[in-house]
Amino acid sequence: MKRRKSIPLWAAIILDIVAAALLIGGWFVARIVEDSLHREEPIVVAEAHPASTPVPTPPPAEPEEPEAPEETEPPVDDRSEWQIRFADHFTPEVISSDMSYSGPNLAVNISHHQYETDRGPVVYHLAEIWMGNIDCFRSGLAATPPRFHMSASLQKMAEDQNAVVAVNGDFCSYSYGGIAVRNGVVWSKVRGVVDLCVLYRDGVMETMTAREFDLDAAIERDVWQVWTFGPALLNEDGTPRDIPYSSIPEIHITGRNPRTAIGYFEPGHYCFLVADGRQQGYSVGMTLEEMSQILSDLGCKAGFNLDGGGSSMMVFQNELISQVYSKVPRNLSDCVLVTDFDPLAQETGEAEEAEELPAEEAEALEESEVAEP
Amino acid sequence: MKRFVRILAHLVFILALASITLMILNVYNPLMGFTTSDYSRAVFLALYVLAAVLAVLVFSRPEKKQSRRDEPPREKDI
Repeated sequence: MKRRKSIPLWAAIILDIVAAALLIGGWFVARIVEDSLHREEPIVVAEAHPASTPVPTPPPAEPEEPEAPEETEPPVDDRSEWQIRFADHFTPEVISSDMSYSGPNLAVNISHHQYETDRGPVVYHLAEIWMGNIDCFRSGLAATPPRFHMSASLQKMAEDQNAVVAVNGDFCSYSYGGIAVRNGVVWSKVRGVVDLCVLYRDGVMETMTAREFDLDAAIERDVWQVWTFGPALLNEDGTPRDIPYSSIPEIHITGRNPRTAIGYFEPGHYCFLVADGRQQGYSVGMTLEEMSQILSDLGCKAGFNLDGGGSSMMVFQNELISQVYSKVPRNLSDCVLVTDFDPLAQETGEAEEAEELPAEEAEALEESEVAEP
Repeated sequence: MKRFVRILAHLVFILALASITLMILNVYNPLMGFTTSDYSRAVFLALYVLAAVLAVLVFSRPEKKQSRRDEPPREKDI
């Protein structure tokens, strides 16, 4: 009887390795399918609507009177609380340059810094931000809802929302679990294990552990944004935090890497920090301790580490001002950005639209009257 | 039966390679759920079950006969 020829051992092992690789590929396909099929219903916490911002409504326009009143009333200050507090930074008209932007609702100062370490130089970019209303602080998403396989360039997401400055976010679409709230919409409410950064519509920003976070309480308090990544960089008193490496699951979060962080001074005053890295001779990258110290020295009350590595980048007025180490900047699933949002202009626009309706109706009525015999 | 055991061994090897890869990927990016997703758990479960079955099949096989050295030589072996 003829013996069947068996394949050589080396060929069998190679075939097994190929099969294992296909199994790994199946993991990514399964994530995409799971993402599409098991999407949670988003919860809208707060409409991104100017009416919800703390801006007093201007008094209605009075009809012209033939005789001027004997006693003139003082002009009404319709600025928001933040516009008054940070008045030194805002300008009535938009003034922008390579390093700054100022308008009636937003002011951004860009600065570039460098320091030496035993491993080489470190370059980082800082965007200090003052805003007149919380609607200036937004998130950009490559897809809504965030999808595992969908991403976009930071510049595109920034352009779509007329961002003045934008940085990468927490890559929420890649996270399996974790809280994701963007622009007042809860896209994911699965509790993760890493730290969170929470921004409320009153402008307060807090960092906390996943265990401390209560989504219902946050919704009650009008949560605006929640990022899941971490670690939190500062203690409650603004001092640098001892980074709890033992509780951080990522091995490469240690060491020198390109990094992105957001810092909080007070409601309406924030900063974005992006450190370049993995480029010998230019910037070797920043450690978490260094980032924590920098934010503390700036006077931040809270600081939060976002996605780093190839994701770290900063765009200012549609120009990439940080230097990524890859040839092509990575596409991202989400970003953090500030835009010059004028709630009064929004309200005026809505009022004008409302006034147009009766005119259109009047025209339609006129045409129908003409058509009648 | 031999053929079935060989196929089972290959399946266990494939699942083990995939599991090791998923664990290494999880070290570098734990937020993506390489070891916590439903698919990953299915891979691990399949590995555990098939490895257990293979182990049972291997140690339940009858012991081999004594070495042929102890047997009288057959004509064709000379």
